[in-house]
Amino acid sequence: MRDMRVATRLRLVALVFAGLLTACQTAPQSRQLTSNWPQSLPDAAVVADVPFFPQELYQCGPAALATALGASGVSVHPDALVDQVFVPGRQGSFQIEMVATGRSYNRLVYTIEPSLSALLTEVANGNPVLVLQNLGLDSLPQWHFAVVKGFERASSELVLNSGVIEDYRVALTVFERTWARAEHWGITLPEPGEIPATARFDRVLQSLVDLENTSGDFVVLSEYYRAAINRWSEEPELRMGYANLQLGNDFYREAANSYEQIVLLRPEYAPAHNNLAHALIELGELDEAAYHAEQAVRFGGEFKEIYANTLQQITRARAAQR
Amino acid sequence: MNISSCHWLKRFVTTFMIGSLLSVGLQTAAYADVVSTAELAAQTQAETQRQQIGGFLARDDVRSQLLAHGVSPEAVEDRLDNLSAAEMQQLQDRMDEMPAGEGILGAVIGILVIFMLLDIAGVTDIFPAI
Repeated sequence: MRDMRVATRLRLVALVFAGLLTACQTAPQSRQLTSNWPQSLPDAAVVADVPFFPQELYQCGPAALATALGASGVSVHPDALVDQVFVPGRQGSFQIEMVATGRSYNRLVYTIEPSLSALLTEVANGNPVLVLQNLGLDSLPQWHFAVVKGFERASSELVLNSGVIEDYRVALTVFERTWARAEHWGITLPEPGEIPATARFDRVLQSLVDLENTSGDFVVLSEYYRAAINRWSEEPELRMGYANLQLGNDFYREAANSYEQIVLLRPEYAPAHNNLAHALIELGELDEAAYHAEQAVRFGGEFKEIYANTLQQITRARAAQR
Repeated sequence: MNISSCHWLKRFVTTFMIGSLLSVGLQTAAYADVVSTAELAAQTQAETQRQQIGGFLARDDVRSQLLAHGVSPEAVEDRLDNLSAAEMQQLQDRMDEMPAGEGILGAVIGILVIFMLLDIAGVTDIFPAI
């Protein structure tokens, strides 16, 4: 009995000690930020019109997601999200389902770079960031979703809608420690027609593909694609995504125009020639289609079997016409 | 489970799988020889995660894991529909290790428990009655 008490005490002392050690850990990103504030960042910013839903027991997931969706122009109550993100057996919500459910409401869900400067840049540009934190310790985790909506350089504080507190102000260093224990995970849900300020084009493209595969609203997707093409006008893959979206929704002439623009921009980009051929097949312009299929075969590359099939299909169609 | 309900379940699952196969089939059959955006996106990424063909198995597995965690049978199919293949795969591989955000109220309860333990151990005396 006595031994057990001693063992319990030792474990508790170890736990408290571990806790204190964690507190002593520096917050490297905060320190760097406060000593060398980026010129691109304003001294303070708070995103306006971020709704607030006080969470109910264990349900920070639905509350935080409803907050982020609300800021993105989707009005939804946390209660409506419980069935989609809450996992009763874990008394919580998974990051993956937060992302998937955000998408199911027709929003691009973008995972930001794991850095405070990316987080603040998004907030400064009007995009609140839904974050995962571990409010406890690595050995005794307390996972929590909240929404970062503001910051202030003078006080070195962040402003969050978190749990049952609206406008919760927390020291940058404290936040960084809790965020670091959750691998600096954060997502932002821009409104259609906007792309996150810190986004990378390849990851935006993947997020768009995921959105297209889950809910796939043509108008919303078009707005995201056009914004992305505006930002990265030289990247053919984004233009291809937009043209493929038009083709998939039977806008053949528009799709053909979009593919033609890519061909003008990058004359040797085989995927654009190949897909343009398909738009032209739909428009009944088989000679033009054959020309572009031949170009695709000529330039080849990773998808060369596809190009060969396209050319074959056109040859058959022309033979049938005669 | 008796034999007839087992049979019913099998039929349900088979019908469902055929349905899913058909819907996937239709999507790709329309433009078999178009280079898809998904293929291009995979090409642009350094850390390319080629999506596995074991999709249906992953879906079955994730479904039963979610059901075991108390997700309602009415909600589970919608939730599975929302997932990309890569997300499905991640859930299948490591659902049990994944953090599940629960929040501050949980934290308060957690802290109470710690202090109660500390009280019991005689380290603190926040709850004199214990």
